[in-house]
Amino acid sequence: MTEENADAQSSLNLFTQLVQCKNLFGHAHATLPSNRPDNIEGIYEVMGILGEGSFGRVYRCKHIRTGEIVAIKQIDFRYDQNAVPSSLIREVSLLRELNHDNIVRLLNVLSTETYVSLVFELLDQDLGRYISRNNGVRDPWIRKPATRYYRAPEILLDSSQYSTGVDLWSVGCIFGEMVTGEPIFGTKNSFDELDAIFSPTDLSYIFADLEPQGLHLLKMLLCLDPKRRVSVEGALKHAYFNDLPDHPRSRRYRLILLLKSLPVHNHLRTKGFILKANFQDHNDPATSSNGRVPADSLENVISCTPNSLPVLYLACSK
Amino acid sequence: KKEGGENKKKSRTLTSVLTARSKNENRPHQYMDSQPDINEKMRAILVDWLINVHTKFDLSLETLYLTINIIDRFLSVKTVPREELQLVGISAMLMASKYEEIWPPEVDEFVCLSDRAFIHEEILAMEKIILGKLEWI
Repeated sequence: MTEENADAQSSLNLFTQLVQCKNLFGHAHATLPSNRPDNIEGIYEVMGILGEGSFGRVYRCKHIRTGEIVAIKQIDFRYDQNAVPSSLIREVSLLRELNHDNIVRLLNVLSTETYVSLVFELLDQDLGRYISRNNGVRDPWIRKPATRYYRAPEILLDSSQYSTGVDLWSVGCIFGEMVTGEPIFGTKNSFDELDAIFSPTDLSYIFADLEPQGLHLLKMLLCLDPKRRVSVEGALKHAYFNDLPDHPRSRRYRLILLLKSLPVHNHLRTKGFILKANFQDHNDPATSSNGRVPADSLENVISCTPNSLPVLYLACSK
Repeated sequence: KKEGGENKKKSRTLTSVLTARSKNENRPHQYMDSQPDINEKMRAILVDWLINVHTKFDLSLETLYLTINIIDRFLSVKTVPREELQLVGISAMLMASKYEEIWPPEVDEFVCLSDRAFIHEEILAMEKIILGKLEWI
């Protein structure tokens, strides 16, 4: 009980921070002209719009000279105080290095004073997926690491200091999802996300199917205060995992694999090794078929992928 | 021995993105002869200054190494007048910070630390020139 009281207290403190965080809502993101251009830098003819997001737009284009069909992602940073966004620097330099059949290839980068055009090979279905997988940029006002559903409150609240604890939060979210079959904080934007996280909820009611030990561990993982959240070592020693071995496809077994895959050291954390749930299109509510995760896909969760790190613009706490 | 190999591999993955690129033209080479207005001494002064800035901002070591790497690669392909050398250094550190740091310093903080030798817009303009020349790091 006292634990829950303390949790409620820290929830209150965090909420105060949120309310003071006016900047969070005043962030003017890039706006693009409403009509689409006829061509891009005179090199590509614009044939249509493939997608749109807070980062800008993706056009279907034809190389005027060679006739090659490509997808061009235009990123506008006119209103950015620090000019070229760090997420863009990282995206481009990483994509330039990557050469794999399963990764969309970056063919060229065209830049002007105010925006950058990334020229990608056009994969009819896959480009949309590539963009939705990068759904950090889909969010209208926050560019943050990790898929939103699994983002820890301290990231959502723009703490300047966060550590390996954010991954434990993600594990908690995924653990909950294994039980209920749907994202436990599956919301449309970061504001709703915070709202959901800070709403007083009785976990034992939602996770009635879960063993008491499992529920206890889940509460430790979903602790609002990152300092009091359980560590990887602590979670692995939890009584929930007693008397293993278990069936390799069981919830407990998967959870252990997931915990063991986490980076333990903070320097890996800052390098951007962020746990990212790989539920294919499930991350994107628009493309998700019914919002449910096929049980098998949970195995895919066990992957730590480099992801973009947060940007400086919205500093508010501390 | 096996562990050593793994470490080597790990450090390669961390740095390869930015430095050990396969294309030779993207590596720094002996460029001072092609720079009419700057010399080794000036580069050394710039690096010393950047180390101070780096300490002041409490940045990671990788950021410093990447900064110097960006500067050398840029000077390998572009002639820079000595008045702009510090500007190249500032913009390179800004880029490296954006790549490496969770909380990179703000442009205006660089303006202050350089004693307003350069304005906000100049730093951003140089950043774009470097990005263009180095083909986006």
